[in-house]
Amino acid sequence: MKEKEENKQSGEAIESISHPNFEISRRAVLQGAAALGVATISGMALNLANPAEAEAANRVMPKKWDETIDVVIVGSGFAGLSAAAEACVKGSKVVILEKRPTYGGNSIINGGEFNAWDDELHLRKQLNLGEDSPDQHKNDTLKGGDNYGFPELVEILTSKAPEALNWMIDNGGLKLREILNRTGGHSAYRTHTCVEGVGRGYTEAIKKIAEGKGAEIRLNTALTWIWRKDSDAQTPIEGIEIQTGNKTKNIKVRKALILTSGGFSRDIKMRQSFNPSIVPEFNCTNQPGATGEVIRYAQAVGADALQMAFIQLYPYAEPETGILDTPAVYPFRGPGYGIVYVNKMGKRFVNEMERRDVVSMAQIKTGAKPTYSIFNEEMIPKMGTKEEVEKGIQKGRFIRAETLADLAAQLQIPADVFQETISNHNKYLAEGKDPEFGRQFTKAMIPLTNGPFYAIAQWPAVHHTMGGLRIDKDAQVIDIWGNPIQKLFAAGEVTGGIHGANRLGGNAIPDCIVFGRIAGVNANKAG
Amino acid sequence: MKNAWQCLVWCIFVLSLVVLGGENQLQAANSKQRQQIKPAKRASCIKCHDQWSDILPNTHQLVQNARFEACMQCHAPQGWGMAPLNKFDAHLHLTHLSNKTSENCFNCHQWKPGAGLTLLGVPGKYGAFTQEEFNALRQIYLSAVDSRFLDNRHLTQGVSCSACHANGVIGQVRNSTCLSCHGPMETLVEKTAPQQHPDRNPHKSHLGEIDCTVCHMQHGPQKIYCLECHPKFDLHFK
Repeated sequence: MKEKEENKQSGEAIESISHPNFEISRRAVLQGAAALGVATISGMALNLANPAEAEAANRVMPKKWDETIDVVIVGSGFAGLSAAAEACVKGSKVVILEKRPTYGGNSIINGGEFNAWDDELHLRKQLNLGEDSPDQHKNDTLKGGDNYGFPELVEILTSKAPEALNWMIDNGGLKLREILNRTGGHSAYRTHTCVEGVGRGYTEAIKKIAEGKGAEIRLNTALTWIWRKDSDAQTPIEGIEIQTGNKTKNIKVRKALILTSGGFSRDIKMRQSFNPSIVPEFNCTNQPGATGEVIRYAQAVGADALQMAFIQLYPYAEPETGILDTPAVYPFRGPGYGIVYVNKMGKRFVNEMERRDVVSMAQIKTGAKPTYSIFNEEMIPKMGTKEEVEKGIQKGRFIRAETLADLAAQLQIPADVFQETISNHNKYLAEGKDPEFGRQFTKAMIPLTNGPFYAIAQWPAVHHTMGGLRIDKDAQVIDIWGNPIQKLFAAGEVTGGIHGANRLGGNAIPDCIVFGRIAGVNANKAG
Repeated sequence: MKNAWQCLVWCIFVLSLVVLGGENQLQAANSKQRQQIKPAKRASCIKCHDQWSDILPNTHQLVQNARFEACMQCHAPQGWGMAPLNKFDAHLHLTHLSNKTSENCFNCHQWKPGAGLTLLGVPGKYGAFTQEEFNALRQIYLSAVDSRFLDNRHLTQGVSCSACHANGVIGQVRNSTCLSCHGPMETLVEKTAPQQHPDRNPHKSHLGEIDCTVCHMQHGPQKIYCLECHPKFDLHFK
């Protein structure tokens, strides 16, 4: 309970600092329109500011710029770093702004899962894990998002994912574990894991490429305004206002501005304004900076945003704090190798092969927090490493027992029901048919017959916001009239329309890197 | 280790003087400056302290006069680092800017926006500051002499501003600067290794190498960054 209060408080604190322009009332829109009318004759800036900020209503374009930068990127996660790496060409100045005091955003604490139908090591073939193709990955992604994702964008993601992975291996020194998982909603074994078992493995690789090419990261520096003269389709982004500490600067953006600022999972008010069911009581897996204000700054200069109501819960977060730590990735990686989810009654409650939204809702419907993932010793090398599991046991995250009865006793769930559940599942697996939940069994799955057995507690926490800025296949931001905004690009979680109603796990990193790179390449052509 | 550093810094300083003929230039500049600046405009202890020799530390060697020019012959700032003679700068500011005294900067210094900050009557300048930068500098100095923050702890230990902010650069200090006195990193990792949860070592973050100043802010309260995501961790400053 105390924990909840703490979470709520920190959530509210974040809200209060992240909402200066949030209440866009009808009056504000009208005032903005009025300002717009003046813009053509007096050099006013395009302006949809909060009327409560008196000075904002009269914002005029800066008369002089404090600095000129070729390509400015907002946010230092997967997408921002990738964009920077590609935007760095000879003689161009590329700067990544990061509002937090450390780089990496959510990416550096992400679970480290990367979906690609192939890779230069050809892991799937090597491990004899069946067939896959870019189309199969695309179809799973579209279906997993209830067909709200735009097929031409999803196709780019799935077809370019292997190339992105190889790019990090070849140029950034990325190392992959020799495992491949079939995770919720996917019909093939295509989920790669880096050696570090956490997103930092990828961020360090891309950072190395980007910094090697001359990109600069400025920490503690936030975007506070985007300068554009009017909403004419041919009117480009002129520059931005940024803040470091209490110092404000205006930057002229010569070639392009790329928004890679992530989602808004940590902004309780914003997420509830689009989806009231994502109540404040939910925990959140995100870092505190995931507050989405950059979406509003882009909207204020005409950018379109879509599908903002689609907000994902991660089904397997640590139940008390909502943190997605190393152990919390195991339940996600496990389904392809036979992991079983049980509730507090010792019963299965969902098809383990299901998507994140389905598993999360099924957990909530059990009515009793938490639920558990059950696996055995044999599955560990398929999902992770023995070392990680030992560490997790020390931390009290994994629970180990020699027998199922003992495991049930430790979890304080009814042993007889639990043992029956597992033995039924073993039987279904042997028979290749799950009459209860319709699980799609594969040859790679391992029955829970031999101990030692392991359990980990899990509960949903707010994780990813699928909605965001509308982009086209060139990663260019589209305005509310359907035209690309000149010199404005976006990639990663800040964008919408790729994952649809539900993002399949492991699709975020390829999304960020593939579209980040596209944005970086096109940014150079924009100026 | 520290002695080796000091030696090195001194060697480089002396060598550079010899190689560049700095001594002659300094003298030339000295005489030129002397001609330009009237005695009244020279920074000197005697302006306020009649018995100026009384305010010298007991162990201080005899000096000829109270002018900063004389002081600077030994106490010239070494750029950065922990040279013992740099303590002069730290102590002088501490005693003259505290709540009780809060002297005007321009009793000793001369400065115009964008131009070099100098000591009255002493050649050489301590960086060129804009109005904004100078205001920040002044504000931080005034606060640091009485603050409860780490800037005060550094000052009272004789670590002047320039020890960390080399060559008049205002801005974030690099880890290598901190580690030149507090390092190497391995010793800090060892020092803060938790017995119960070995992976909760604040000096070995899963975020990789992060800036020291993320937690150890100097001109404001320190904060434990880990707690922003892990509010239940039992971490605190000693």
